Amino acid sequence: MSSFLGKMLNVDLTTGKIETTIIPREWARQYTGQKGLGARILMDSFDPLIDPLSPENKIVLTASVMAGTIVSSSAKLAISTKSPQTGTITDGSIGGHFGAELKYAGFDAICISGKADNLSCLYLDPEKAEILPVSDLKGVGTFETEIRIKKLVGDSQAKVLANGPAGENRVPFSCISTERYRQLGRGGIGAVMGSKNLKAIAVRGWLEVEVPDMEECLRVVKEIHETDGVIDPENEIYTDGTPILVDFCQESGLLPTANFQEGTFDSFENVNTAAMKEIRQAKKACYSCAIACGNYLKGKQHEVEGPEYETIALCGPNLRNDSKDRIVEINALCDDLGLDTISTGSVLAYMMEMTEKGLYDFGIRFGDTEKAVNIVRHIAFKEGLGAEAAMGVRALSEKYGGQEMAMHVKGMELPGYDPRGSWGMGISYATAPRGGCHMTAYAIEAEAWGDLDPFTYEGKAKLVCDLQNAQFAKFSMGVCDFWPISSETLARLYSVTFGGDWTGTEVDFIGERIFNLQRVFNVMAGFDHTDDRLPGRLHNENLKAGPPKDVPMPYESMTVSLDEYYQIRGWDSQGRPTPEKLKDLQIEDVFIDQYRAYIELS
Amino acid sequence: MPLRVKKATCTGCKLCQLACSGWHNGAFNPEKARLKVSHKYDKSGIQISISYCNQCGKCVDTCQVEAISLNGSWVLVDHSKCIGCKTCLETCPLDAVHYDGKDKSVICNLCEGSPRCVEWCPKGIIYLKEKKSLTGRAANE
Amino acid sequence: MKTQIKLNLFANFTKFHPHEGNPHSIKSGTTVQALMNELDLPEGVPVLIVIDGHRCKPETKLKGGETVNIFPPIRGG
Repeated sequence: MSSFLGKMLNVDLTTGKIETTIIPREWARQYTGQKGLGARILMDSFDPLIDPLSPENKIVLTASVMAGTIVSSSAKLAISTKSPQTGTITDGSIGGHFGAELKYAGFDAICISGKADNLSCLYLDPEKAEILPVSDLKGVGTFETEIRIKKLVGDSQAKVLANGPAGENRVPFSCISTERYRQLGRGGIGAVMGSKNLKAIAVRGWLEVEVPDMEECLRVVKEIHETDGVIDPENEIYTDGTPILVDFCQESGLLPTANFQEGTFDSFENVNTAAMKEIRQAKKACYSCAIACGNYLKGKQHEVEGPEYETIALCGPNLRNDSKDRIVEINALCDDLGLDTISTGSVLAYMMEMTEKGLYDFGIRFGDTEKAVNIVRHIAFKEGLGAEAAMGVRALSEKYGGQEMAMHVKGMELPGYDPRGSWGMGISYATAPRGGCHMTAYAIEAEAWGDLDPFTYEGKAKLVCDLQNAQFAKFSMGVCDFWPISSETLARLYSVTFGGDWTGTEVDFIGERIFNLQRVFNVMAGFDHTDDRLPGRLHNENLKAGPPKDVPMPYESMTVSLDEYYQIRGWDSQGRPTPEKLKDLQIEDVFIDQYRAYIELS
Repeated sequence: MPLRVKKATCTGCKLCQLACSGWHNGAFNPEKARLKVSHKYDKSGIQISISYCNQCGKCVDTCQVEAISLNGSWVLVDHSKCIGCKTCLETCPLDAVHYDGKDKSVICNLCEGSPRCVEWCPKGIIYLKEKKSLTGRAANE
Repeated sequence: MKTQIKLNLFANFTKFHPHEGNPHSIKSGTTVQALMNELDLPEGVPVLIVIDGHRCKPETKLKGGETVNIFPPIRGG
């Protein structure tokens, strides 16, 4: 079976109709897989103005050409949808096995629309696909859901994506979980699943994945694994995982502390990588991954795979919480309930600051970790204070004030890097399609270890643009973020798994195409340059310690940089891709016509 | 010269299964690999385990039609003699016998001296006892 | 003149830290580059140097008494 099958499972939960449809091979060339293919499928006959929690929204699951092959770190699955948190397109990516298993089941993608009458699980294998009733799983956490789904389908080897009670209750920052190991869904993908009465998706595969020339593939992939650092036993992502970033962010002064009021945390050594390693039980890798970043930690009473740096930052220093046991507890709770830890930490921090400053008494202050844990439990069920927190910082601050301290972009709470310590990250957050997201352009690396001054916007528009293009290609063609792969190497891998003779330039071009396609979605969903903005705090308050101490990051300078960014991108002054640009990127006429009509009217 | 595995440090990546099936079957399919990695989560946390052939030769002894032999270092199955009775599968103490689509017994033959799983394991967790693996990592007990 | 600094090496630079730990003895006026050479840090690898909360270049001269943090490239997420 080819590495690209051209097969999608199309599921309408309203009617119960399930059919296999064809994905044109041309889409694998133009958009490849994961993020790119997901956006293309989502936008096929789709109105970006629909209510994300309505049956009209689609959930698109996409593997990639490389998933199921021996390429390291390639088993990832992307899920694309319209976000109920931001109203933009959002896509998340999950490790574990699911992406590869979907290929072994004979599919490149699944597209789910409609809404089931009762709580359901979608199950598929090479021989059948069915919607199973699972009403008894209402309110059940993701860990137990997965166990019970495997029993239900009678196969302990089934791979499951489980939605938690947070998603069922449509919390706008709810996410899904797999293998008690990995999560996905910033932007509220769990809520979209919940709105469709979809509790879980399970897949089992036993087919094979072929490549054009197996001998050549094995030779090239082996060589790349050995020379590109993925098998290096001293790779810090293997030895430590992402907690390695705590010390770096502390020293660089960009560790979010007390709701981004500060960029350094005095007790950072209680929650840094050395502290986490003291309670580490085991390492784990995703399917096919040589890097093996996973860490299972055992705190005093809770265990979790994690915590990732983001979770430590947002649920640790950002809450003035210096207890790693509490971080583990919050992480485990969020994973089971299906809550994004970044947004959860951010909304708690906002509530703490509002209380401390006497602006609104949420009854919780910085450092009140026991109360924090209690609120987290209630967020998933939208009870009491949890119902307030479940709104997220944007809606909560619109209700109670303190919008300056609501740390979000387009409604998505900011991750663990204060842009005042790395100005390129500010442009990155402002222009990421799904809102305050660090995954599209990791400007930090170039500013810390490159020749770029972190405290200027000069050169940052181009930096972010180039990083976004490369990253979008990488997250579409197939490998995980933690493999710092060049576009040239990615091209070689795509050539031996898909066929053809790809170049790094073509790879970046694909990335640019996909980035623009997502921007087109957002423009048609009503977004423009006035939404590419950072929270007021970042421009109006200076950090007080570390390298960014007393360095202002003026709003005016950022808007100048954004204007430069739009020019480099070939967009108009309102931050909208021009139809000519879309034509240059070889995006299909059907989108260009729809898009042209939209911008001419607006 | 059997395989050895440092079980405690296996990360469960299954690149060994991918290499095995890719090499022997010309396609990637962990179901067809001659070693199996699995993981589960129970009250003692995450457990990763590998089942693989250590060339003990029990299948050689139990085969009713003498289709299986031990060639010094590795097991050989003669498919022209194999009748698909599954005795070897049922008597293997390590669950290391598999069956292919033609109902013939498939057993690890160490890739006739250059095990692909050893070559591809990213962390040197699978190795050949008393022999340097192909990637130059020294074996140790 | 001999003096002392507090030296912290991170990620896969940790193994280059001399085992007498902190404080670390240097000659006053030594540059960070000279210090890195003395520690045998791999050449050609970009580094982030933060001294007492300020980012510094390898040419920076150390007087003594500083906290010197050196990071190799770290990928994030």
